[in-house]
Amino acid sequence: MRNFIGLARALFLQAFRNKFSFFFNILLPLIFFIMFGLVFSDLSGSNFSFAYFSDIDLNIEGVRYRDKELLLKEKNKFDAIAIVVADDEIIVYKNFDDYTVDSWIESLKIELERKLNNSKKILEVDEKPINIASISQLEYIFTGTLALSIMSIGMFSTINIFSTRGKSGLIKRFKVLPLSPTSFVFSFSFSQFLIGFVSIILIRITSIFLFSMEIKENLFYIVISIISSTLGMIGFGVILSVLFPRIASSIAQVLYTIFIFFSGIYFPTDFLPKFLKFISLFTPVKYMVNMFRYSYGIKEISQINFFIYSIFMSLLGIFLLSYGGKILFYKEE
Amino acid sequence: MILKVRNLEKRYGKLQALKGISFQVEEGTIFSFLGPNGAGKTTTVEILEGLRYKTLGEIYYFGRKVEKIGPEIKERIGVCLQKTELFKELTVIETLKLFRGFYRKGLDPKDVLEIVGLQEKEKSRVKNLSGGQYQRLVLGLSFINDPELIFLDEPTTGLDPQSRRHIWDIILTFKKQGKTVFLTTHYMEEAERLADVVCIIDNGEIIVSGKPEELIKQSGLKVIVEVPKNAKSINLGEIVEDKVIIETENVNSTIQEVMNLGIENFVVRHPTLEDVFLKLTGKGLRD
Repeated sequence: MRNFIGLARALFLQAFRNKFSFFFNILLPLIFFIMFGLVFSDLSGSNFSFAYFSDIDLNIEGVRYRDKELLLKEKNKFDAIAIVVADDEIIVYKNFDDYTVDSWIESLKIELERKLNNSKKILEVDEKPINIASISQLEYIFTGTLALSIMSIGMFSTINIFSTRGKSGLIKRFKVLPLSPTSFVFSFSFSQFLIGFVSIILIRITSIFLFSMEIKENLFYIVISIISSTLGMIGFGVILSVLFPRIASSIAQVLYTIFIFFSGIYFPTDFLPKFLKFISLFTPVKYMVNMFRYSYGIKEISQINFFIYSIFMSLLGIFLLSYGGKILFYKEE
Repeated sequence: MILKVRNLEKRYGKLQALKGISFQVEEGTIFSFLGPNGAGKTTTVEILEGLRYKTLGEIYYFGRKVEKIGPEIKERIGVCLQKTELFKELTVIETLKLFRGFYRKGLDPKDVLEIVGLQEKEKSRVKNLSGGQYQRLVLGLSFINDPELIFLDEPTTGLDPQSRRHIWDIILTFKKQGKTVFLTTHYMEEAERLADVVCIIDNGEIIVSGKPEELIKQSGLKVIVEVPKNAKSINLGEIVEDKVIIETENVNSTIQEVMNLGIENFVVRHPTLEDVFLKLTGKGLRD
């Protein structure tokens, strides 16, 4: 494992200093995020919609329903609804798990306390999530952009190294060194993880400064998503390089475009016609997007699915990478 | 004996690229493989570097028979490939430090910079180097591990005369330091100027080997008269590119014959390794 860090550093610097790879890995996803973010997000304020049922009129945001059954029937139309069932109990149905919804519930509590007896009586709030998958357009684009960036980093870098051009050039020089394929692929993967982390930090910073975006973050899940997604896309890059050694790069560029449209990066795949929706099941990026959304509290998939996806992507990536490494280092050109 | 090769064969399907060649390289010498493109020079050297697998034959490195060119051999050899790609966005010193890091022992990258004359380019990106500077960096990488044996596969191909001479000086420095150099080239002048032993290879076979001056002497060639190729001169000798090479023992009568044909721009010179090659194979080194 000699010079593991040195090689990883070199690969990292090469990727960051090279205008082409910097553009595709870092800038392009960022540009897409800013562009789509500006188009689809409402920067002026909240788009959240609320409704409540109460016997008394409350001075809070939201539509007041006088028919409890009707509100329950129409609960999916809102981000959250509240049913005031007794003086000291509120049942809240949440379509969306967000600090704005939590603030609304809090203001509802305060308003109800004020109206009832002007005292600080603690009311019971029974929260019932209905469909937490519902998310804002900006969050949708943000998480999609993260997946897009990781896809680009993993796939294009691998193709650059593993395709014919790479094998006949740079790799040939490494083959005459006392360097094992394992060391090489470890360094390569490590450098791609680093680039992935930097890219995601940059996108997150942009989301904060440009869109004042607040979103729940689970660092543990984010790290798992980055590592497994990068490994998965590296594996995908190895497949393309082995199957199409001379044209892998061109194919990757076509797939990049296809994945943008069929993986739910910028808009939900639900909008797609049925047969195209079926195709989307075969795009690895769709699963990456789901993993990133899960990491940011947007639970379109269950925790079990999250771990199944990440384990599958990691194992596939490791297997293909070690296979690719052997081909790269031991196969005669 | 630093390197010994016996009956080395290499096949690519039906094509036999090497037809059982044998040679040995003595320590502290510059050993040159001279031959035209496609002769088998790079195939041989890439087998010895571990980039290709031999079909048959035996390889002895540092007195021991080896089946596979593993890390222990790679630690002790230096390699300059015919075409080397590097990380173009790294600086010269970053590149040298990176490669130094792959070996257990080696030279200080700053010392290597000085030997190859790239001190002023230390912080330049590799992509901004000229062809000659790039090749000097590649050459620097080939001895960063202070190797006992350095393989140089056509290190001056495509370079201008000044850069070529610069590379030659560096190669001669290796020799002064007691290193052994395995040089492949298709430049006769390069082999003559640098090599202690020349092995002429063509079509996967070693035709002849020995010290350059001995090879010329053994060839029996006396004097060469070189005339431009045209309708009048075409039957006077062997055609090599745009010239006709006439081997003669009687210079005066040959010159007279040439002048009688109305040819006035001719060159009379001593035979070279290229003439030896021409005599042995009937073709030029760059054919």
